Amino acid sequence: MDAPGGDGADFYADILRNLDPGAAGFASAGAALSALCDAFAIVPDEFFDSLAIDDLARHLVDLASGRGGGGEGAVDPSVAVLAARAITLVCDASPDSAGAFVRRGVVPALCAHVASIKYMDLAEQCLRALEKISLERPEKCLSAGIVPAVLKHFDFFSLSTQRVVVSIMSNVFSVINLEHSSLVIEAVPVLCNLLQSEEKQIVDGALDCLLVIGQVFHTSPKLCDEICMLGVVAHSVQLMNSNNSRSLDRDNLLYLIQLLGFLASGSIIAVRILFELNIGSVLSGALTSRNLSFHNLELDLIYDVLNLVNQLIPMVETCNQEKTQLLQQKKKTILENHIHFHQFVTNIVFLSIQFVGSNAKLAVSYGFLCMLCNIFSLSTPELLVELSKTTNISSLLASLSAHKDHQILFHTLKIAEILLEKAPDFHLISFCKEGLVNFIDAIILRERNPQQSKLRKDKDKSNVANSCYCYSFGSDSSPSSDKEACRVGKEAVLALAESIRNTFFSTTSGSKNGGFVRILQNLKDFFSISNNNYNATKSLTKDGQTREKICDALHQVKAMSNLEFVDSGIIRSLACYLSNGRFLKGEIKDTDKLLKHLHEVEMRLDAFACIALLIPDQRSEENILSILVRKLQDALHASCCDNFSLILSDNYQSELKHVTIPLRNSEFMKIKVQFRRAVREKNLANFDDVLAIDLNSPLEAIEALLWPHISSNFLKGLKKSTRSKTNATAPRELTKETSELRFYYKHKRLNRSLTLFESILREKTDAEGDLFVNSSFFDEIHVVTYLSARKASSTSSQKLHYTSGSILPWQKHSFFSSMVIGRIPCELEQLSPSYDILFILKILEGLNRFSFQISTQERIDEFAEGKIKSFDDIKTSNFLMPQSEFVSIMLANKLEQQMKDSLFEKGVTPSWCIHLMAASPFLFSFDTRWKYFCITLCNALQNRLFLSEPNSKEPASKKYKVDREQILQSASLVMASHARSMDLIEIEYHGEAGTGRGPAVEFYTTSSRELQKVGLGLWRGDCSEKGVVHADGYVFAPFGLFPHPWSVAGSSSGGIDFSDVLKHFFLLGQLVARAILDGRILDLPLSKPFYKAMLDQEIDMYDIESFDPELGKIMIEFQALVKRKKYLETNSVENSPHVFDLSYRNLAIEDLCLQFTLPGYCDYDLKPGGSSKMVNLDNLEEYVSLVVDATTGSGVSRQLEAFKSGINKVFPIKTLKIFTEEELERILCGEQDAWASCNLVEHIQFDHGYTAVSPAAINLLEIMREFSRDEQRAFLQFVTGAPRVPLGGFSSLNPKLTVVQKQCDGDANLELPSVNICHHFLKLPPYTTKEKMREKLLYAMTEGVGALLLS
Amino acid sequence: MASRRIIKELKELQRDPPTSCSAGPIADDMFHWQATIMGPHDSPYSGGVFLVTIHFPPDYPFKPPKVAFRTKVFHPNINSNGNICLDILKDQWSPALTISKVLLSICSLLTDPNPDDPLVPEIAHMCKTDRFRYESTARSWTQKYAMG
Repeated sequence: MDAPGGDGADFYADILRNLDPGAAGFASAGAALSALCDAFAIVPDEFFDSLAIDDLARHLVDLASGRGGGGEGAVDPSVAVLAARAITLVCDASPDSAGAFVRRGVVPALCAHVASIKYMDLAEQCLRALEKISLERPEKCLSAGIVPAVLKHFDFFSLSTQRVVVSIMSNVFSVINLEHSSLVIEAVPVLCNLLQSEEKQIVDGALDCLLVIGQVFHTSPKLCDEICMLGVVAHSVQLMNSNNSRSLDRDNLLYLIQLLGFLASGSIIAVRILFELNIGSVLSGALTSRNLSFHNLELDLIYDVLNLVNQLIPMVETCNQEKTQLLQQKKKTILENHIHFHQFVTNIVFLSIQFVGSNAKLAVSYGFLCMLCNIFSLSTPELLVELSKTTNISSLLASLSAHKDHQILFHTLKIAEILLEKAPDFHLISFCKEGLVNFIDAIILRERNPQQSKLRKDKDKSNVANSCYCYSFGSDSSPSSDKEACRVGKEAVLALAESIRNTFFSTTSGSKNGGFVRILQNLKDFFSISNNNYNATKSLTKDGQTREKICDALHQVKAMSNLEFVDSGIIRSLACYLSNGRFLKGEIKDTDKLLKHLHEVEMRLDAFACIALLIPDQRSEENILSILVRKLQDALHASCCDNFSLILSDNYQSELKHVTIPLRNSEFMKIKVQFRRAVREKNLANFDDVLAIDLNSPLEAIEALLWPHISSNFLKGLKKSTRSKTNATAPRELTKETSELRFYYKHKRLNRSLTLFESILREKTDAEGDLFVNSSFFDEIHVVTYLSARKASSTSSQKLHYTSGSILPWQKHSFFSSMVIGRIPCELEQLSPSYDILFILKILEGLNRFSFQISTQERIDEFAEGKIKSFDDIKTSNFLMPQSEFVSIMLANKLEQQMKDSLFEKGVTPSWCIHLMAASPFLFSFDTRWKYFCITLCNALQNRLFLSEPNSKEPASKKYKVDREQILQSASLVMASHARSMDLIEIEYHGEAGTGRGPAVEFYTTSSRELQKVGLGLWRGDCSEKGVVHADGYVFAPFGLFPHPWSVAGSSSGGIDFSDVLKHFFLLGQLVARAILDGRILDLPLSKPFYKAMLDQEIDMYDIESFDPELGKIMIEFQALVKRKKYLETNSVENSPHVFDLSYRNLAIEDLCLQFTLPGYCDYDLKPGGSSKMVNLDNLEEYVSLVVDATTGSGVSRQLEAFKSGINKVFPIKTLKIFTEEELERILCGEQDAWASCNLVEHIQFDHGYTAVSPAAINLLEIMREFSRDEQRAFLQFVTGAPRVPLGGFSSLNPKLTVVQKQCDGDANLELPSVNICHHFLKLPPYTTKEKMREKLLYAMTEGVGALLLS
Repeated sequence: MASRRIIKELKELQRDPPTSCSAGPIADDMFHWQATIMGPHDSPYSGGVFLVTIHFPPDYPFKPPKVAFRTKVFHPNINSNGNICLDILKDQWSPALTISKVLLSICSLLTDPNPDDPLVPEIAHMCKTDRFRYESTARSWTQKYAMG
C-alpha cells in the first residue's frame, strides 16, 4: 500500500473512523487495523508525534479487549491480535503513548488474554505489547497485576516468548518496594528456576529481577528470610558453581555476588545457607579461576566479594544499634556452625593473604585487611594457629607495618593484637622471627615524633579524598560512624601499638632467637674471606667438605625469616663477593687492573655457580639458586613498597579503564618550562623563551637543545682566556668536553638520572609515594635555572675491552658486565635497600640463563684436569629455573597500574620503569612487557610520524597488489614502500577476488614460507643433501632455522648469488618486524640462536647444539680435548697415561681424517688451501675455533646484519631486547595450534593393544592437551627426537606418531613409558589412572632426554 | 669433491676387509655405497647374503651415515622398508666410528636381536614368546629373499 506521506493526517482520520467498532463493526475494524499495522510498520517515528494518540488508544484498547460494538464479551481473536500488534507498534515508535494506553486500561485487558491463554498467538502478541508498556509505565503494570498474569502459564510459552516475559518482569521489578512482598514471594520460585535456564537472556533477566528484589528487601529481615527460604541462595550458588555454563559471564557473576551480598546483609537464613554451601570455596574459585592473575585485578569483582564476605562475617565492633540484633544472630550462627566457618576461613584467608601481599592497590589491601580482622576475631585459637602455620601471616604483617597509610597500619596492628590475644605463645615467636616486634617499636617511635607526624598530617590533608576507604566496605551503611572510626585512626595507631607492646612484648625483650646467627656468621665469613683472597675461595669451593658446609648453610637460608635475611647483610656481602669487592665503588680505568679484575670476577662466578647450580638431590628438592631467588623476591617485596613511585593522573576514574592497545592516536603532552640563567652564572647567555618539553626527554637532550643558544658568551669568554696560551682549535674541543649544565628547580639540584618532568613533579608534590598529576600541572610554567659546571671527567668507558684470553659467552652479557663494574648498568638510586637485591637478582638471572654454558665449561675443565674420563660425561643435564620465578609480582603490579593510567599512553613513564625495563626486564612478566612494548613502541612510532606528516592520525590501511607467482619480489616492493608506515597492510593478489584482512594474514604466512624454499641458500640444511629429494621443496630444520654459512671469500656458490641472500635476509627482517607491528603470525620456525642474534646477544660454540646437535656436541668434545692437552702442557702431571688420554674415543685426531673445510660445506675452506690440510691434535684448537667462527660468526654475520637492518627499517631493534628468545618466538609464531585436540585425535595412531577409544588413549590425549609449552617440546623431543613438529603440525610427522601398549610383566604403574624415536612409537604401559600416566610420562620426558636408556 | 675421510675408509676396507662384509661405492658417487652382509652362521640368517645401501651425508663424519637393507629381513629391529634401529646410527654416533664398525654392529644385531626396543613389535613379541617360531620364520625369509 502507499505510504501515508503528505496526506498522512487524512489517511489517519479515515482509519480512525473505521476503527470504532461501534460505528463500523468488527469486520471493517479488522480491515482497518490490518491497514494500520502495515502503515505503522513503515512510517517514520516522527509521524506518531503528530497523532492524537488518545482516540487511537481508546479504539485500540477496545478492540483488543473485545469491548464495544455489538458482540459484548465475544472476542474476535484475529482482531484482538491485530489490535495488540498495533499497540506494540505505537508504543515502540512513540514511548510516550504508553501513558495513554494505560489510562484506557490496556494492562488488565491484555493481562486477561495472557492469563486465559485461550489463543496462543494472542497471548504472545499481548505479552509483546506489555513488554513495551511495562518499560514505560512499570508502576501501573505492577498494580494492574501483571506479574501473576504473565507467570501463570509461563511454562507453556515458547522460548522467545519466555524471553519477553522475563523482560517484562525485569521492567516492572525495577519499581517494586516493600509493599509488593506478596507479589515478589510469588515470583521468586519461578525466577529461581529461570536461573538454571540454558538461555543467557533469560538468566540475565531473572538475575536482574532478583537483584532488584534483594536490593529492596534486604532492609527487612523478615521478608528477606522468607525469600531465602524459597531457595534463592541455593540456586545462585549453584549457578556460580556451574563454571562452564555459558550463561555465567563476568557480569552475571558480579550480579550474583551482589545479590548474595544483599541477602546476607538482611537475612540470617541466607548466612546460614551460604556457610552450609561452602561459599568460601565458591568465592575463591571465582576469584582465581577467572583469569584473575594478580596484576590483572578486576576491581569491581573484588569489591563485591569483599562486600559479601563482610556481610557474612560481622564487624568486630557494632556501632549501629538497629542492626545489632541481626549481627548478634550472625555471630551466633558462626559460632554454632564452626565446622562450616572453619572451612570458609581456610578458603578465604589464603586467598586474601595472597591479594594483600601482591597488590599495590591500597583500597583492595585495606578491604582485605578489614575482612581478615573480622574473621580472626571470630576464629578459635586452634584455627588461628593452624592458619598461621599454613600461610605466612606474620611476614605479611611485618611487611605491612612499614606502610605509610595509617588505615592499613591500624588494621595491621589490630590483626596482630587479635592474633596475640587468641594464641599468644605461637604468635609471639613468629612475630619475633619476622621482626614485627621491632616494627611495632618503630611505629611508636615514628608516631611520637612530632616532626614526622606533621608531615603525615600534611599528607593526610592532601589525600583525604582518596585515603579513606572506610565507606567502601562498611558492613552497614551509616557513614557517620565510619567517619569517626576513620578520624580516630591516626591517634589510634599509636595507642594500639603501645597497648600491644605493653601487653604482650614486655616479657620477650632481648630474647631474640639466635638460631640463625651462627649460620649467618659462617656465610658472611665465607664471603668476606673470599673477598680478600681468591685462593681461599678456590680451595673453599673445590674442596668437597667445605662445599657441603656452604651448601648446607645456604640451604638454611630457606628457613630464615625475611627480616633475618635482609638484616643479616648477606645480600651485600654476596654482591661484594661476586663483584670482587667493586660493588658500588665505580669503575676501574686501568686496563691491566681491569683485566686482572675481570679474571677474578670470572673465577668467582665459576665458584659461585658450582654451588648455586648444583642439581637438587634427595636432601633438598630445590637448588640454592631457586631458594635465593625466592628469598630475594620476598625481600624486594618487603623493602621497597615506596621506592618505585607511580605517576598517576589525578582523575580517579581513569584507573579503572583498561588500556586498549595498540593506541594509534594519542596526543602527546608537553610541559612548559622556562629556563633562567642562575644569578651567579656569568659565562652563559640568557634564554627567555618558554619551551615545551617532551615528557620523556632526559636532561642531556635538554642540555643539547639549550647549549647553542646560551653558549655564545661562554665560548667568547673561554676564547679570551685560552687564545693567549694555545692555538685556535683547542677551545672548541675543550668546550665540547668540559661543559655541563646543572639544572636547579626551587633551589634544588635536579638528578640527572630522572627526566625533567619527573624531577619537577617530585619537587612539586613533595611526596614519597605515588605522584598524582592534574591538568594544572601542564598549564603552569615551571622555572628552571641553569648553571655551567665542569664535567666530572667521566670518560665513557662503559664498554669493556677484552684484549686477551678466550672470551667466554657470558662475558658479553650484561649481567657479567654489571658484576665487573659492580653496579646495574642503569641509573637507579644506589642507596635504596632494594638496589642490592636488584643487583643480585640480575646476576642470578644471568647465571640461570647461562647455566648450561657455565656448567659445560665446568665439565670441560674437569675433563681437562682428568677428573672426568669419558667424553660422554661431559654432557650436562640442563637444569633451568623457570623464568617466571624471577618475576617480581610487586613491581609488575606497579607497572601494570602505571600503564593503566591515561598519562602513560601520552608518554609519561617514571624513570625507574625505563631503567629497570632496560636493565632487568625479567622482573616483569611477559604480558606486562608485551603491553609495555606495544604502548612505548606506538608512542615512539607516532612521534616519528608526527614529525613527517602531522595531519594523518587516522589508522588507515593501504592496499597493495601482489603477484602470487613472484611473491618475494612483490613482498620486497611492498616492504620498500611500506616499512616505515603506521598503516596496516592490505593485500590483493593478482587475479584473485579476495582482499582485506584474510589475504594480508596469508601474505605473511606465504612469504615467510617462501623464504624457506630449498635453493635460496638462506638456511642450514639447504641443498646440503645431494640426492635426497626434498619432498615439499622446503628446508627441513627440525631444530629450527639458522643461516647457511657463507664463506667470506666466495660471493656465489651453486648458482646462488650471495647478494641475493642478503637481500632475502633484509626482506625477512622487514617482514618479521612488520608482522610484530601488525600482529600477524609467521610460519617461520627459527632456531633459538637466531632469536639470540635478534636480541643482539653473542652466539657461540654452546649454541651450535641447539640447531645442529651432532656438530655442537662434537665441537664441545674437541674443545675439551684441546683443554686437556693445554693442561698437560702447563702442569707437570705424574705420568698416568690412562687418565690423560689424548685420543678421541680411542682414535687419534688425525685418524678422523678431517680437512680444514666446514663440515657439510666442502667448498667452504676454513683457511686458504684448507681442503688439503688435515686436522691433527696440534691444530685442533685452530680447527674448532674456525668451525665455530664459520658457523656462528663470520660465516653468518653478514646475513644476520642484513636481517637486523631489515628490522631496523621498521622499528629500532633494541626495543625487542626486553624479551627472551622464547618470548620472541611466541610473539612471532603465535601459540602453536598443532596441539588442538582435533589435530591430536586425527593425527595420532593407536595400535597394538590400544584403539582411539581405549581409556589410556583418551587419558593420553587429555594429558597432551594440558601440556605447557615446555612440556610440549619435551614430549616431542622425547618421542620424535626433535623439539618441534614440522611445518604443518602433527599431520606432517612422518611416520605418524603411533602409541602402542607396552607389555608389562608386573604392575603397569611401576613401569615407565618408552619410545622408538626412529619410528615415532610411544610405548605406553596401561596405567590405571590419568594422574599416574602423567606422572610417569613427565618423568620419562624430562629424565630421558639425551639418552636412549629408557627403551 | 669427495671427502678424504670417505676415501680413506674405502681404502681401509679394501686393504683389510672385515669378514662377512664388503662395501664400496655404487658408481662414481663416493657418497653412495652398497654393501653386502653375510648372515652370521650362528643365526637364523645364516647362508643369506643381504644387500645394504649406505648414504653418506655431506657433513660426514659429523653426522651418521644412512644405512638401510635392500633385502627383506625378518628381524625385530629391521622393518619392511629396510630401516634399521641401531643406536650408533642415531644419537650414539661419533666421528670415531667408521663404516666397517657400523657393518660389524649390524652383523651382531642379526645375531642378537634386541626385542626390548623393537621396530616391529609383532616380531619382537614373537621373538620373546615363541623363539622357535621366530627363528624358523627368519630362516624361511632368508631362504626366500637372501639366497639366490
